Amino acid sequence: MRDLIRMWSNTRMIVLVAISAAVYAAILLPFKLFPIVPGVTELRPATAIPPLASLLFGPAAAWGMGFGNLIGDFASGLGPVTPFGMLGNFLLGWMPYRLWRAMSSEPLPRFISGEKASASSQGLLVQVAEFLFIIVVASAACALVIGWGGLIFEAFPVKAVVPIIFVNNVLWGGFVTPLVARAVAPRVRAWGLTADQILGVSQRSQSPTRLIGLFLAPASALGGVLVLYLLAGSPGEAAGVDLRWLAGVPSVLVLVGTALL
Amino acid sequence: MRQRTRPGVLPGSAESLGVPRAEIARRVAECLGLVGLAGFERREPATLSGGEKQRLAIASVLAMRPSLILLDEPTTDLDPVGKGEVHAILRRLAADGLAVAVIEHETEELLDLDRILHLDAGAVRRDGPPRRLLLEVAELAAAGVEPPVAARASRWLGLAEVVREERFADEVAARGVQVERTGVRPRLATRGEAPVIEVDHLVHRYPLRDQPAVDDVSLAIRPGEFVALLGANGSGKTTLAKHLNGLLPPTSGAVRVAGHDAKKAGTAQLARHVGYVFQDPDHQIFSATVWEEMAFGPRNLGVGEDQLESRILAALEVVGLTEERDRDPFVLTKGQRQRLAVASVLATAPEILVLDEPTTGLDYNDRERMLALLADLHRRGHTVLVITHAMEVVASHCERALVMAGGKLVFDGGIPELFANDEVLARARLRAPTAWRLGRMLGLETLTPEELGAALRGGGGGNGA
Amino acid sequence: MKLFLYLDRESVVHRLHPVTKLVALPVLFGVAMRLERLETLALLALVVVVVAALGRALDAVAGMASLLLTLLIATTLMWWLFAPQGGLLRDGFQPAALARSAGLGLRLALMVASGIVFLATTRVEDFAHGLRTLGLPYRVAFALTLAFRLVPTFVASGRAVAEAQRARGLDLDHGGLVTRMRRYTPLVVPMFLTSIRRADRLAAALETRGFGSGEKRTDLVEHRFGGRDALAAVLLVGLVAASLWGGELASQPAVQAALGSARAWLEALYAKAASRP
Ligand SMILES: Nc1ncnc2c1ncn2[C@@H]1O[C@H](COP(=O)(O)OP(=O)(O)O)[C@@H](O)[C@H]1O
Ligand SMILES: [Mg+2]
Repeated sequence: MRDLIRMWSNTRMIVLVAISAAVYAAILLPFKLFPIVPGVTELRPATAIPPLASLLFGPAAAWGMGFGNLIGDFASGLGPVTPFGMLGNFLLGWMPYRLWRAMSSEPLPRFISGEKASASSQGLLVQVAEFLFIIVVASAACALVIGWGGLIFEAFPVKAVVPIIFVNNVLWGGFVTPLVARAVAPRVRAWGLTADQILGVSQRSQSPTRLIGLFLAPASALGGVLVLYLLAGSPGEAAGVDLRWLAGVPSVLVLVGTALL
Repeated sequence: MRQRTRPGVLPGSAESLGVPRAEIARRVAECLGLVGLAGFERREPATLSGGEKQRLAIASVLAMRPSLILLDEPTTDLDPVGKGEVHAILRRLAADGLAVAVIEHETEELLDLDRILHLDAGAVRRDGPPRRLLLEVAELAAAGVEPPVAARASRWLGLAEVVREERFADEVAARGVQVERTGVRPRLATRGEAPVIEVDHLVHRYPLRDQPAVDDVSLAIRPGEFVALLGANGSGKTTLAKHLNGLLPPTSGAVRVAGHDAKKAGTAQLARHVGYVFQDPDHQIFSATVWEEMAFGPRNLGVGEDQLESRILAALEVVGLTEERDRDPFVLTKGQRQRLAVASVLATAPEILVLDEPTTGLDYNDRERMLALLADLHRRGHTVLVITHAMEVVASHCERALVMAGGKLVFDGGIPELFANDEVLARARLRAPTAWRLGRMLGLETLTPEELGAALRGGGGGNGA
Repeated sequence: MKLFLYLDRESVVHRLHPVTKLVALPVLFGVAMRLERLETLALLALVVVVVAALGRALDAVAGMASLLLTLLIATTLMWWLFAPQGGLLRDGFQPAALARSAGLGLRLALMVASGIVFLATTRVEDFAHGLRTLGLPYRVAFALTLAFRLVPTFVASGRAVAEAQRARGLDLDHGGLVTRMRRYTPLVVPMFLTSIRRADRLAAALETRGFGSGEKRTDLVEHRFGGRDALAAVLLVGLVAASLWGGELASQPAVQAALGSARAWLEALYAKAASRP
């Protein structure tokens, strides 16, 4: 948490915010020509960037992805959901970094860093599973928050859009991000540009509450998205359940849980 | 009224230093004026040409009112006239009392500076006035610095310092050197074979642009030719070249390559015939090893694993990177990465090679290697089309020049014809190389320093270097 | 290529203080959220069109017409078909439900249109300046502005990467979903690396130009709140009041009577016009 503020006193971290935001936006933009029409999932390669930037640049990626998404909206039109898009992408750029640090003592999964296993490290399969878990949780958090905004402003059919966002994030993050990260991570480290190198962060989260966060953030992200998907546009909604609360409460819990990590 | 000055790249600097606002606006206008960009206050930096961007960068540093300004290879990407313009601005600033320091490995523009420091292995090796220091031709070459041609010529004449160009003919006469006249060079003859590249009334218009980037261009290139595509920054060279492998579709007109209609065949199909080497090798390198990088193209084209190995080895051999096959491409030098880019294209075994400014940003040794490589590929039978601003390269290697200006093809012919055509040179912001300019003062048509030297020595003068 | 919506023109809306516009946009969203009936939303749409015209941004809005129409039609259909109450699938055809759905569609399109007007009339620097006036720290505003400035360069390098790989035979259009997705690796890797590689030089360039030198900064962009901002504020307050109490006001007997006579007058006028040959 403190790093999110602390990083602003470091010029290189500030530059990384700007660069990662611009890269994200630059890959988003060419695909913005087609607005998301419900039911059409076009390929959005930009979605591979947030978890990648997150693992490498930590807090700079969080701000960078939020800003990058804002810049993307500058090209296609600001709407009431824009702040929620920013928050969702902020989480997509922040949670993988925090979650990984709460679970592992290595700065990056070994199938990304290419390093040899040390005595204290988890097995490779465990790392793969943990990585996928992180991607799924962060994707759910992002979809949940954006879905919440959509509900508040009745901006899009939540039942269709939330799964699109979630599946897109999981596929790109799960299948493409590791490939890209494998090629990119050793070089970024050789240039001394990872958040750990710049800020001198201790690798494993030392937070006393991290176990609570490790439970709360994934549970509320996954639970929230599931409830949202099941209840949106169903008889439950008709029966007078206010979905805005059903999405808002877990969204806030995700934020709290992430802060505890 | 609020200020209507564009706070693009420029004010960033002075803003940070807490300079009052009205003062900033004045400085911005003044500095833009100094670099010849008056009236550009509201332009988006992204819409400027290469030379304009470079001048803007200089202005943005000037806005801080420094007493020293330091420039690191400020003219690398620029066309010959653009280079001259930047240096003219620097000279004016120096005359106004500003200390100017330029880091350069191209020596041609440095003759009129006040002083040169020659660094070698981290230490100052020589320090002195350019016209003296650059005369040490052999020593420079040994240190990997290309001596200016005027310096070599001055050596041949036995002068005490590098001759001023306008004084060259006088010096030759004063020394009584007899010039051996070789007569007029043979003109380029057209050949009979069927062309491999045919461009027919090609027009390309980018979206939202009024002027077409390529405007009614027609040309034909025959197998085995070595052709230079020349022109100022923004004249449409790259746009034209990108039609040759279908990266851009013609707005109108047609392009035929190796028997295919480029538009219909598509880039993936044409990749078998046309190898395209882009200006910046870092735009294509993504693999963990040189070997994997080399394998990318052939695999895309469906080359089997059995053939892959021999192809890659052959290509690495040609560019001299066999030793590096298992290394990370990102730890290679710029010159090696550029040659890797060429090799990764060679591995797809194309008969035509298109290279976009392959020597830009390379130092003397790497540039010579790249040129030797191109000459070698040409000897092996490849048709080579090279885009470049380096006129010495054109003079020493190419047979034919295509010159673009404002999207139009304004010249298509032999190299001596081009250098003799002042009108085309001026229109395309080109300059004939020094060897030609000096030779011409003596009534010669010398393309390379060697030819100039031979003419001077052949006439009984000089002692060679 | 034009990436962003900003139009470099002179207009009243361009000259408004960015804070005025930054406040007006969410307020307008709020007002739109209060309104449900198609007629009142149509009135609000009129307001947005007038502001767009004042800002000489009608063509920017028209340029995004396909997006706006898609939003309008898709949202309307979606609500009309699936609404929990009165939806076509559940309760059959009900004109009132259709009108309500159209209202929701119009509301969304309207919000996005006002966002477009905002973007067409506000430069990135002014946007950042507005955020700073509202309390955003300088360094954050700077990072945002810098990101905007880098985007065109990165888009260009993205295009160069795509061309370089296509020239080596990369094909993105064939194969199964995951295979095609994985083929983006040769595009994303060089683009990411060439961009990140600038970080060190950029940071150095900022520091040589005095970034973080500790001296108090001057802002080149200067804005003063002026008469037009006051006027905009009054109009905005009026708009909010109308959305809060307009409905009530309209149901007052006196207003009803006035509206009734206005309608009668209009109808008479219409009848007279119609009776003329
Ligand atoms: N993608 C593009 N979109 C719009 N204009 C372009 C694009 N690429 C190049 N241009 C413009 O087309 C003209 C020719 O550019 P280019 O072919 O790159 O010139 P050269 O290679 O000779 O420097 C220039 O005015 C340039 O600004
Ligand atoms: Mg070019």
